[in-house]
Amino acid sequence: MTRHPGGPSNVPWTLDRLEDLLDRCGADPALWPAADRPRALGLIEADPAARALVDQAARLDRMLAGDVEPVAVPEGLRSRILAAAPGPVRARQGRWRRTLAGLWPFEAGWQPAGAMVAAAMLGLVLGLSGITAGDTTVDFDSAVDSLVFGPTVLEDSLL
Amino acid sequence: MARVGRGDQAACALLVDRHLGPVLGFCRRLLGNPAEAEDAAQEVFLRLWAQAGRWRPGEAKLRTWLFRVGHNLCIDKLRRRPAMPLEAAGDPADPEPAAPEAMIQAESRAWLRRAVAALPDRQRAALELCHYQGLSNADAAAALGVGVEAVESLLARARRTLRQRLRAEAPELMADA
Repeated sequence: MTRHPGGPSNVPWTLDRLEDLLDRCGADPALWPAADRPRALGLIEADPAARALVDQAARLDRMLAGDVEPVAVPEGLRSRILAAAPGPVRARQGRWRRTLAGLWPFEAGWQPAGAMVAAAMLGLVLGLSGITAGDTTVDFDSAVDSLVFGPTVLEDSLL
Repeated sequence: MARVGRGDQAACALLVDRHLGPVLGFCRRLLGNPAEAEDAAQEVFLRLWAQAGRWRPGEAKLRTWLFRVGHNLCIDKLRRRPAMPLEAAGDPADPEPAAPEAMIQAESRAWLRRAVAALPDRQRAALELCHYQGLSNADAAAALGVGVEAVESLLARARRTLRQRLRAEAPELMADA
């Protein structure tokens, strides 16, 4: 409890203060703030009305404690909730990944992608080396241009 | 929660089995209507599933988070519906109390549930979380989105109202003490 309803220690206790304490902390003196306990117990011992208040609070505590019972969960509710539970991660991938998975429905997509890149690189290297070795009238830069841009570059040399 | 976020079905089932009962009980007591309470409890877990992949450990206690979402959903439902007479809150059927002592207990429980149902929503929620769900005042405060002192004040006002009503309306239950 963060507040002490008893107030300063030199102020005498009243029934109102005891009532406030009971509402905040319940009827069990063990749950009362230590600073308030002696004066509250003193009032209870001296005043029958204070004892009646404690009896009421204790009765309410027992009623609240006795009303706790386990909740029976309908099986249909449990099933509906579990049916909506998240599935394995692969099932929850985004649209881009689902599209890729449709094109390559195997375990790892990097393998075919890597093979395509490797083939392209090999083709480029072989193509370039063939031009430089076989044709001495065309310089290397022109050969690359012709590979990349097509015949437009060579058209200039024909003019 | 990390396993739930990865779609581990066993972890999801474990979590539901551990928390669905308390969340459902909380919603039932706040709403007083079993069907509405089921809807609210289901929605709590659907939101949890949606959140699971982004859950950060230590950011919030799962139990507190569940009650917080449940509380917000119940308050929304309560605000949307017209005021309900106290009797319509409904008492769960008691299992055939045969002995006089059992009858007194049943009567006491029925009275208490009617009285709790008549409390203002926030007082009822604070009482439910602290008394029935066993949350600390700090956790109840987090679930209700208020400070600890506010929870203590809500609890105190709820207890005072119940105690005064008990004295005025059911002195025979008081005498039973």
